[in-house]
Amino acid sequence: MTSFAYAGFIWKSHRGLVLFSGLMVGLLQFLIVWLIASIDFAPIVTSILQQFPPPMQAIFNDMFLSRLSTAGAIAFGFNHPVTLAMLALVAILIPTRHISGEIENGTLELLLAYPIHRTRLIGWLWLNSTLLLLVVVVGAWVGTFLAVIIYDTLTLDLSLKVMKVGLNLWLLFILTLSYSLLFSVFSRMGRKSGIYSAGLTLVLYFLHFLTTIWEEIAFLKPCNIFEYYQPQKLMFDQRSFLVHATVLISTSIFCLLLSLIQFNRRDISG
Amino acid sequence: MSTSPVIIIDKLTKYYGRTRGIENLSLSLTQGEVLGFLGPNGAGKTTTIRLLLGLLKPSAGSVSIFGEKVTANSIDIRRRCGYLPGNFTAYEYLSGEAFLRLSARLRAVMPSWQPELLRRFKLTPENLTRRIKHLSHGTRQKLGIVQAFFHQPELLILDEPTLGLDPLMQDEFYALLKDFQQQGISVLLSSHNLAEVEKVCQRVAIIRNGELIALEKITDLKNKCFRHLKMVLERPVSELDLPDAQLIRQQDLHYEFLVRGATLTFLQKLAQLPIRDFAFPEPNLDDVFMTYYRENTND
Repeated sequence: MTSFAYAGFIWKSHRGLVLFSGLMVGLLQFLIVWLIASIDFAPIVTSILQQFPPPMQAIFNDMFLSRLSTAGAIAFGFNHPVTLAMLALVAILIPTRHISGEIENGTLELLLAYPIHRTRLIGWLWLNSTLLLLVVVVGAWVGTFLAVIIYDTLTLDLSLKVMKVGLNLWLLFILTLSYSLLFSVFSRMGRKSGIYSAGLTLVLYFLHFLTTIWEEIAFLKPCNIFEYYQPQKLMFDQRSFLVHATVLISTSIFCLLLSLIQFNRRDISG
Repeated sequence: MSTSPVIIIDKLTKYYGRTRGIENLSLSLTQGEVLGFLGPNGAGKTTTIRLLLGLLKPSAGSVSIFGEKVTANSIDIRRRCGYLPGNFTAYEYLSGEAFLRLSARLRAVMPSWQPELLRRFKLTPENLTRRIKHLSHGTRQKLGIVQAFFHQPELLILDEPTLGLDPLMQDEFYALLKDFQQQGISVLLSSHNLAEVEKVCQRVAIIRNGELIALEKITDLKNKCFRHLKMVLERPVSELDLPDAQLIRQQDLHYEFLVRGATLTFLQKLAQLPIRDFAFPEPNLDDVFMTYYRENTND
């Protein structure tokens, strides 16, 4: 009962943000797929690209023309900064608010004076947060499937790819959630751990962008979590979902275990 | 009523890095007893309470509650305790009602005493439906008291419980403590309100700079402490030598002494003096407190 009560409390505390994020992400997916499926952009983009020198044309062809298909549009939507920002917000906000934030304002002291085991508290917080992240991803799935059904043809292959990309997105933000939790169990201030988590996420995001255009630092790619989320490549079968999933899941579990150890040994004082 | 110890604290020490929280603190609380835990801010009261609840890890020493080590079996212990933290804060975005419901569900108990407590502390449905952030400090404190008491705990740990309560509600709180005590419930009451401790506690532990400097019955403490004797004489006396009394002020025939206890010889000496006016009030805990602080500071 205690665990369900805590789960209900987490849901009630964040349902507004989560439902709003799910709706926004779903709408964005719907709009992107609708635009690409309804308007033929290919001749416009081709005529623009013809203005560039041939080597540039090859690069931009690869970048843009592949996205002008429904599969490309879906991948673009799943990798859109708004989608990533919404999920990052949920993934960072929940653990920082409920651990370091509650240590800061004193409510965790009261909560841990109730018969609740610290391991269970962290476990339930993590599990419930992953489910809240899933709600946002479900929003993206719903938006995508609705748009494809209405404006294109939904095939089994496309459905499986969309599911894979969504799962990959979910796992990426479970990892973000897990390292935010880790920052949170070490901190006494919610805002501080939130800033660290958001800072790390931003640094990794921009570093990933830099490693794709700057060959000298390409060796950093395997160390970056965004390397294990490539919707474009997943949609076009250029990457293995299982490899991505294994790396993201194992790193998340590692962060979760460290969080549990630290939370069990730390002092709780406001 | 059994006198078995509910809390046994043995040489408990807590350091925050190099800073001392408490050191070598030993005390016990028996069933049905209300123990006052006195000390100024920063003395180590809250640290001790957090160690009792397993919120802090001790640097040395041990705490047993209901015969079980806190570090080993904290969950069962916390199930049987009620706790009101100092500067009580709750989830501000919840209503009072939702907060109490959440507390009961997290404790997995039926809050059997809740209606009675709400009535006694005059918490109306209107108070309970408002968000906690919109409630006054006193009303929030009442909510804190309700959540600490509502499951009829066997041990209550209260940190500055009457902070923010008006005098009427404070009296109601003291009456509630008496009711609980009659049912054999033990209470550790941390406070720096000396009058409050005097009203409800049988024994008092005084803590200073993280160390226990006294643990005695209130009556014994009062006998030990300094009392102020003020008197006005009819005429000057050649020799004014009172045993166990220290003259601290004199103006003409007005004298003020600091007296430890009130021995028979002292009273006999006093009776021989030509006294016109005289005041020798019962010591209160302020005097006790100051006595201990004075002695320890002199040390």
